[in-house]
Amino acid sequence: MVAYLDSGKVCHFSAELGQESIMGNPLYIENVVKRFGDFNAVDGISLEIGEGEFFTLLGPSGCGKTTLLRMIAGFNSVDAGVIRFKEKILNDIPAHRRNIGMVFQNYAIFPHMSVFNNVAYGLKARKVSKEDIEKRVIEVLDLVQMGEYKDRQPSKLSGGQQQRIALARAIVINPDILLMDEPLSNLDAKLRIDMREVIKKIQNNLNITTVYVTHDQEEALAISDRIAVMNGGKIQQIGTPREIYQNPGNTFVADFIGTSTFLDCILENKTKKKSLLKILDGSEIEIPLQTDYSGGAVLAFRAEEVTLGKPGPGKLNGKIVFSTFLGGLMNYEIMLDNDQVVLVTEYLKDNEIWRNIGDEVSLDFNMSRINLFDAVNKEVLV
Amino acid sequence: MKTPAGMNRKRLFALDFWNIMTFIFFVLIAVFLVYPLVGLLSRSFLSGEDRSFGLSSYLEFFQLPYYFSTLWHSIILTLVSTVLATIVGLPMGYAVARYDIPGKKMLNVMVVVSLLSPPFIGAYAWIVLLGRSGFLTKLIEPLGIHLPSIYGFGGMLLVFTFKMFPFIYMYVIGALGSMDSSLEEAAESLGVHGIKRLFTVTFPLILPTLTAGVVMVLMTVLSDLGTPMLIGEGYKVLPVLIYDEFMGEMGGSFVMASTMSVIIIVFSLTVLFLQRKVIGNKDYNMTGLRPPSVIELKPVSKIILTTAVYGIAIFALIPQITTVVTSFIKTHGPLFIKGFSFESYRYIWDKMADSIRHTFTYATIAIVIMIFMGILTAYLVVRRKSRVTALLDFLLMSPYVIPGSVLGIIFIMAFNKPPVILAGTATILVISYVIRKIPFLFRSSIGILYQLDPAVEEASISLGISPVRTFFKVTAILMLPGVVSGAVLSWIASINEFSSTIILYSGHTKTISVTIFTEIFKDSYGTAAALGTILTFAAIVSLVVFNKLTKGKGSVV
Repeated sequence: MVAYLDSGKVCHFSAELGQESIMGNPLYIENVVKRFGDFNAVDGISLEIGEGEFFTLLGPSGCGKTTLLRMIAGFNSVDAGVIRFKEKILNDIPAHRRNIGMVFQNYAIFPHMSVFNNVAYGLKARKVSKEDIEKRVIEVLDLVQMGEYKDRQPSKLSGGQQQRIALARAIVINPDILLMDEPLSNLDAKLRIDMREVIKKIQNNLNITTVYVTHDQEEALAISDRIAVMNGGKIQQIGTPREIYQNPGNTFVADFIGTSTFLDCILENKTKKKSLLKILDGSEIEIPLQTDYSGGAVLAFRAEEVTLGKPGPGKLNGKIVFSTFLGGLMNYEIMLDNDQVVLVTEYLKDNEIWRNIGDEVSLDFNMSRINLFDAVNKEVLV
Repeated sequence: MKTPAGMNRKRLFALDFWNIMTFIFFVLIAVFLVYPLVGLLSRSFLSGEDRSFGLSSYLEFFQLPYYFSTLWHSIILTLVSTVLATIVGLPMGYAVARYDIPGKKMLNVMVVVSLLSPPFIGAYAWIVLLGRSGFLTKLIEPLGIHLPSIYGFGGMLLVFTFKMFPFIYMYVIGALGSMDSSLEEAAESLGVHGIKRLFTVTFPLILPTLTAGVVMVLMTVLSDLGTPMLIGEGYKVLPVLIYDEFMGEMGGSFVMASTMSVIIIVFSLTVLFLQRKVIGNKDYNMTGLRPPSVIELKPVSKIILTTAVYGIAIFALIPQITTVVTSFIKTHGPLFIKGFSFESYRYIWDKMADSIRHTFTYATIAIVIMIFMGILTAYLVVRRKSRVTALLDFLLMSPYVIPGSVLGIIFIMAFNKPPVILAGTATILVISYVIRKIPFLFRSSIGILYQLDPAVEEASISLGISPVRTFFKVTAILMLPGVVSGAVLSWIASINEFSSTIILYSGHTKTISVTIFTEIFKDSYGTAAALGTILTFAAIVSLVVFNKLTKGKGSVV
């Protein structure tokens, strides 16, 4: 049961709500739905985010990640479900009473205020004394390495500097939760990596519960404690960056994180611990798979998870059709016998062989790194 | 448990600040716009002795040449003036924007100054120069040269063409300045250049802006009352006839005045509708990352082009110059005597200080109300989009198609009887200025609000400032530059307002423009000129102050 009280009043948690989930996890989202007309932008999402955790919502544009973030912030209403922070149900609490810090994609710095006043803005609203404001603003500006800019006008700052101010402004109010909506997407590549470290270190030091939205999988892997991969308003997989990268739960995740190649194949269960994988006519690989599944399957692997070898019978053979030299590594495009093109990365420090277009090669898999999905549900086979 | 339905109901009827404001604005619009308009419409259908419902007034209008010909006159005058203003304004704007004509700033100032005073002052200045006892007429009469008459159709064309081309010019310059040069370069690289590029890329791209300017000119010429009253003479146009019918003592002509008012509004609406049809959704929002570079001209072409554009600008300034000069000449009624003096100014200071005070008091009160309304309504229309606020948008823009004289008439008819009696008061003038001039301010407020990122407001809200306080602390302040540039236009239009004031004023609420008019009819040209000079001067000062306030970043038009 959920008690909807008058907006504006703090809603106290009613006893019927699942007690067990309160423990430990301050941010609790249950079956949350957001509708735009007939379209469910967020389609029944449930999440729990721990104290001080850096949690990322990752997905392609239109997957509902920003909508969900804005529901937590209070800018989008919740059509069904519950969002709770500790004992407080947030659903009907207006955005300005939630004590949530937010960092926006395009910084949203107040252009008519100096850097100092931008950061002091939220503290003034909280009736903090003048001396305390001064002290806390300067502290937080030093934290984001912007102390010397406190009297500047925002128009005189670069994008990266503006985003530091935006971060300072959001954390100075000691928010219960920090929300970040693609904060790095307007910065250039190098700055993005610098800022990502700044954000991660500050978040770590202050131990703020953080929800971060991005469409950039590399950024998500680098910065997060845990990631929820989203698509079509639903969560596809939740896990640590490593889990998500190495053990994608379905083909969508495997494809979205670190671009995989997919090959249709047939799996034949032989013994309890052994299966036979038929990829193309003639290529059969024995794999140690602890499942009794037999039937259509999808083999997924990433460019760096295969090695090139000498072609031979029973192996997956192909011909190099294109190569790109990228300094420390080579990218080869290999056309298999069924005309499917596979991308393979070879690190030059591991292999000094200089391959030419037209060379015949075989693809040798690192069995512990490949993933198999069933052909119908696209779910992982374990 | 699911109770979203309950939540929605609560949101819909919540007595929040914005819903209260929406309600207040609708009440004000209902009382001061819809009620008078409905009154006008119903009165236009009264017929016969028993004043029953009928079309007889409309039939009369379309059957009697006396009435019908004025509609025809109005249409011809409006169309020809607009075409001429475009023929002057468009090439001049293009030349100044694209070629290295020296002193562009100076040129723009000249053009802006020439459009600052109401059109009828232009008409008056031409009378002073070329009228029956005009200065130039008298000067060249002994030489046996007879200039074409300044009165009638030709004279009005002259006045309107040179009063209106600056609007086209400013719009064209604005549109060309915000165009990205890569578009023209792309055409060039595809082998399209010269005139062909001009007609396939450049002009189509500025067309939406250009038509907005053209419609503005059409509306202004169509509704202008002062100019045809002064120099129209035999060439009667609709606003003059409406004024005559209404001010005439016969009771029956109230109905005919209403009928003609409805016809002129329908005509304006048609023009606006046609523009929307032509433009459709073609709103090329160009950012102008790299405005086209200015082309250097060869010496001969440069001299010819420079002479031409300065010639036009100076010609357009003649009315202003004439007004200022005559205000310092000794006069005896309509006769100018040799020698300069401040006599005219001393006279108005003694006898007409009231009208000066009225003008600025009413316009100031009106502009304060307009700024408040403009900011709040723009916010409602842009940030709280709904069918209700779309209707508000439509209603606030609708005065654009109501000529001033018509607004004056419907106000008199609506508010000279209970429940609301306002006829003859200063209040009715202020309200008419607000209603009639708010579209400028409303549009520019909407324009700037679209440029403001909503995330800035959300940042403020998430930092703990309630949405209403955020509006006043952040949104309203950031809107100010756009609001002010609209407000300057609305303010200048308010101090110059003539067509509705001439109907709504009473003995103790005379304004400068009305006094100028009565002075011209009394043949006191000197005092009329001095008052005209004060208006122009006030408008220039407003623009200078505006430029100082926005540090040159803001732009008018």
